[in-house]
Parts: sequence; structure tokens; C-alpha cells
Amino acid sequence: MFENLPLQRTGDGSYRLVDDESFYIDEAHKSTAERIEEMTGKTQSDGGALREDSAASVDDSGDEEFHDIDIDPVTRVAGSLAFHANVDLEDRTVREAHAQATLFRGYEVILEGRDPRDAIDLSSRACGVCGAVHSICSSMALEMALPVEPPPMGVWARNMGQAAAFLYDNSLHLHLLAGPDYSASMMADTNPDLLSTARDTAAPHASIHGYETIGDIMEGLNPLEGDLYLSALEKTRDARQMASLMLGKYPHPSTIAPGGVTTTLSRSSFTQYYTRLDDMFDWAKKIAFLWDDLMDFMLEHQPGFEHVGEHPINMIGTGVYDDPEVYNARYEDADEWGNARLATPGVIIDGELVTTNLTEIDIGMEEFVDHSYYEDWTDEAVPFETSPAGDPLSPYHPWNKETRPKPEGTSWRDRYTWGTAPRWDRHTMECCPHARLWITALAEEVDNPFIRPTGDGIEFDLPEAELEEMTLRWDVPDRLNAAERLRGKAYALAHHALVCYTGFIEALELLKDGKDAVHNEFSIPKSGTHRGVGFWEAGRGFLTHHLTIEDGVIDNYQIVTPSTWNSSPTGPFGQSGPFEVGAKNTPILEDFESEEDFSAIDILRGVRSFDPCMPCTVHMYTPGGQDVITENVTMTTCGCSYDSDNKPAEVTLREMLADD
Amino acid sequence: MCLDKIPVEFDAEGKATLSEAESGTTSDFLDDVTVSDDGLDAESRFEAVVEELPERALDSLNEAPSENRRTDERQTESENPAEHV
Repeated sequence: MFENLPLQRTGDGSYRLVDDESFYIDEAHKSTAERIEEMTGKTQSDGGALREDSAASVDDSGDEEFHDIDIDPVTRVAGSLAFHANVDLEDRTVREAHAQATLFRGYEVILEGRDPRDAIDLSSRACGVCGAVHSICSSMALEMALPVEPPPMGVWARNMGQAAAFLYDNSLHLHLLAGPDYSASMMADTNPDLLSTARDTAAPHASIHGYETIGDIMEGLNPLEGDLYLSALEKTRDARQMASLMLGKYPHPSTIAPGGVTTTLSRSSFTQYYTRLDDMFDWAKKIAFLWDDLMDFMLEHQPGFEHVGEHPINMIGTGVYDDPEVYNARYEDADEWGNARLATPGVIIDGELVTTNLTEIDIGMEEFVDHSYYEDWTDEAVPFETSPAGDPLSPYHPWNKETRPKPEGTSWRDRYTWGTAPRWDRHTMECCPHARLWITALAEEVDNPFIRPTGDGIEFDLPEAELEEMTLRWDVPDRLNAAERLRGKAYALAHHALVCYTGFIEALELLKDGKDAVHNEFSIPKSGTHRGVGFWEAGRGFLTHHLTIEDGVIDNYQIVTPSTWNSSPTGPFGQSGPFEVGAKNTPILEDFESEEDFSAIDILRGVRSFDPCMPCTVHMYTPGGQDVITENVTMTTCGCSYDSDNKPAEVTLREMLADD
Repeated sequence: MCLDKIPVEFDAEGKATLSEAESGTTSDFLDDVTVSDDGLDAESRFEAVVEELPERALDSLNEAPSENRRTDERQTESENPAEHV
């Protein structure tokens, strides 16, 4: 199972530390190129076999063809991810890349000493788009620690609320955050010949999604104006209304608790949920085929696009959507309830599925801070030498980690980010919805009439709505790149919609049987040490909250998000994180005549395909001016109508501000 | 549901404040966001939900098996949720 960690499996399936070996990393471990090659079988700085770079860092010798590019911010929704790259504009390659989380959030420090129930609401504020995932993950960590187990309707309400939130999340990313990179307005500047070709290329699935040409799709993605962009904004509202019906409100649900939910699920909760779900079936059908058409066009007509954002096929996921017949919140049974989920947990290395067991995923995790603004904590005694199941834990495991922030100046060769470097079996890992589909496809564990993994893909049976019933098939790709991340996210909408549908059917069954309880009571133990871990997923995949309670208050709280994996800096073994590797594998394809014209769009397409999740800010565009105003305006984040004209709030606000 | 009636308006600087306009009041907003208990027991709620579903949805639900009955263990006697209609 483990290639690099000093763990050995015993006859009864448990793990033990290999004799005379240690988890500790010292100078002898740390990265020489020879050590990395010995450990991984691959050369340094690539995390995989795609680049043959030497271990030496780029020498900024002042050669004219090498240019430093700094992009800050990277994301369209918030401002705390920066990207530094050194590019060879003549050779059209990226020589060096560094992803930099520029903001210290401090949740792990804030939660120390607090009532454990505070973690549900405070951790939710880590993200305005994915606040539900943190609340649910936190609740599940508490369920394990207390312990308490939700009733079946509580589990399905959680699943249905989460799936609806993912419909919002993934629709937002595809069309408002990443989509504008392929909009006609962007392509006119960066790839004008390609845009011209797109306008003359028929969309193969126009009869389903309604866009006659690829150029029409690109026009539709024009930010703030394109009809696809605006339709997606409407769909995000509908999806958040669905989530609110199950979870109280969105963003930051108010009814999630250990032991289930506290939502009042009335007749109208279910009927209003289904009314919106009906639209989502058709939305999922259209969007899967639309992104198939768009990405297939880019792959066919833009040579080199297959390498944009390319990363070795290493992925990790914790799975999501529990079966209430199996889930019991116990760590010792996590493998069983994890494998019963409607999205299977797992680890893929070099395209091979190596495990689907949550306990193995857990003990294989470590977090490093060698290139981050934190102090190492392993100078103190390890709080937990084993997991609750008795398997050895690394001193770098989240249950043993202590957050010690230490801000200092930026040095690409030393410390340069507030992000940490999570590793699984000391491999870099990528997370995203495509990872969830990929693992689920290979595992073939899901047993559901509408979601059928086949070993090399997944089939989704979407019911009739305005469009006829339809079977969508997502195939496991040959490469892991920007195109497949976006395609996977488009197909993930079908997965989420069918989980909503499954949940709706199951909820009706429970009502018919008189089982409408949504919550079981819990109490916080006032003495002793209690620990738990929430295994859940965010919109971009893997999510864990590791919690330790000491005499009734939080002693330690560690959050590992998918963006922690994806935005990881260089680790102690010299491996770059996925954003960085993806950028270094990206060829420069855009049309430009001088350095002043260079937009780095290919690097941005690669990084944005990961859906970098950074904290929530709202940028308001004021037409007619060049200013971007950054404000926290709740209304535009929910995207609902302001007035009876039913125009999206963002459009209405633009018009209002233009009048001033 | 609630979210179409947020009673806010914007000043010249683009800052949002609660509206005094009659078309959207705080109590209207709160009425919209408050989910009251429907007073039904679970089985009656089931009947009421099924009654409000569109015909097309009933047809789909009648054909759809519950996940609690795995597809390879489907019972021969139909127990589909919409059957009571």
C-alpha cells in the first residue's frame, strides 16, 4: 500500500511502523535530486514524469527571453491567490512557477479553546461559496468525537442540501470563474484566429444545448453580458434556494448540527425542492454536452492545449453522500461507510486506484510547512501516536499538527506562502470533481439505479424534464489537464442532480414509513480527551476537519481543504504542488507581439481549471470606468433578483451604479 | 420563497441599506423566509408532497426504485412511493 511511509500491513489488516524506521524528516531526508528520484522514481520538480528539469532552481541571469510574470489576484471571486512564473517567451515555456496564498485566515488558531459547537459556524466562514461543506464536515468530526449518529432523514437532508450546493458551486465555476477564459471577448485578444475558426465551427450537440456554433458558446460566456453567463447566474440562485430548503439558508447554512439537521422539513420544503430539481436535470444535460463541444474544439484546433494545466494522474478524494443504513460516525467503521457513499473515497497514483478506504487515506496524510509561513511543530511530543483504530500516525498528521504562524518575507527558494504542503504517502495529490468521478468510476462501489460506474467511466440516467430522459456517459480520460478538469466538472452536475433525486425518493420512502426525524440529541463531554475527523468533500473535492476536544473545549482543530492540496508549495522532498506543476507543463499558446501584449492566459486557464478556492470577496464592475470596487455585498453573492423585472442582481446593480 | 423580496436599496456610493418602500418590508421578508411547521404527520406529508408533484415526475418516481432496495435485490411486488396516488 505505502511506498514511501514507513508503514507495513500486518496479517489482520492493521498497520505497524516498520522496524528501525521513523516518520521524522531530517536533513538527510530532505531533497536532493537523488533522494527524490530514489523515492519516487521520477525527476525533481515535476511531481511526475512530465518534465525533465534538473533539481536546480531557475537562475535569473537577466537573459532577455526570460520574464517574471506576477499575477495577483488569480481568481475572479476573491483576491488572496497570487502566482509567480518565470517564462521564456521565445521558447514559449514556463520555467518556474510558484503559487502563493497571500492571506492568513487563522481558523485553526481562532477555534482553539472554544466550545466545539462553534466550529460548525466559524469554520463555515472559511468560504462563502462552500460554507455548507465546512459546517457538515465539522459536524461529522463532532459526531465521531461525541459520539452521535443522525437519523436517516437527517442524513438525506444533509446529502440533498450538499448536492444542491454543489450544483451552485460547479455552475458558478464553469461559467463565471473559468468560463470567461474561453469567452469571445477574451479569445478576441488572446487567440483571434481561433475565435474566427470557432465562429465557423458547428457545435455537435447544438440540438441539446441550443448553441449553433462554438463561437456562439464563446459569446455566451462573455462576462456580465453573455446569455450563458447570465443563465448560469440564475441557475446558481435556484440551486442555492434548493440548498436553503434543506439547510436553512445559503451561504453559511444555519441548521447543520452534530446528529443531523435542525431544519423544519415541511410539505413545501419537498415540493419546492423538486420544482427546482426538475430544471436542474435539463441544465445538467445541456452543460455536459456544451463543455464537451467547447473542450473538444479547443483540443482539436489549438495544438498544445492538451498540455495546458497538465498534471500527473495523482488524485485523492474523501467521498461524499452517506448511506444512512451504513453511516454510524465511528472511525473504526469508516472504511465500510466510506465505500457505501454515492461518491467513493480513494487515492489514485499514476492512474492506478490504490485504496478506497478512509482509514488508509487518513493515516497516509501528512502536512509540511518547509516552504510556508509557519514553524515546524515536531519538536514537541506527539499527541497521538496512533489513529483511533490503532494504526501509527505520523508526527506530521493533522491530529498531531500545531498551527504556528510565522510571517516573513517572500523567498521562492525558502518560504513564500500561507498554504501548507499536504502529501499522501509523500506524493503530491490533486483534488477536484473530476477526481471524484475518476475514483468513483475505477472503484465501481456505487450501487445506485441512476449512477453507474463501469470501471472506465460513469453512466448517469437523467429523468425526463423539458428535455427527454437521457443517459450521459463520462469516460475516464487519458490525461489530467485543464480540459478534463472542466469537462469533469460539467458532468459532475449530472452526479449532483441524481443525488438530489435519489435523496428525494428516499425521503418520500421515509415519510411513507413515518420516519421524519431529522436530528438526534447530543452533548459535549466535559472531561477527558475526545477526537474525531470529518471526511467530506468541498466543491473541488477532498475535505477533512481533524478535531481534538480536551475537557469540553477545542484543543486542536486542523482543516485540510482541496485547495490546500492543489495550491501546495514545494514540499520537503522538492516536489512542486499541482498548480505549480500544471503551470510548468503549460505551453504558451496565445498570440502576442511583445511582452506588453502577453496576458499569460494559458497559465491562467491552467490554474483556474482547478477552481482555486480562496476567501470570498465581491468585485463589482462599474461600466464605463476602469475601477474595480471590492466590497462585501451579500446580495450579489446570492445572485438573486433585486426587482420584479427578475434581472440578476449583478446586472441590476451595474445599471443602478451607471446612473450615478 | 424569500429571496426575491430583499428590501434593500442602494445609495449614491453603492452601499446597501434597508428599504422603507412599501413594496418590500422587513415583515414581508421575514414571512417569506420563515418555514412554519405544516402540522402534518409524516405519512400525511408524504401524501401532500406526492399530490403536488407534476404528472411527469410521478411517472418517473413510479419507475424509480428506492436505493434501500439494491437493484439486484429488487422485490417482485412493487412498492414505489407514488403508488398511493
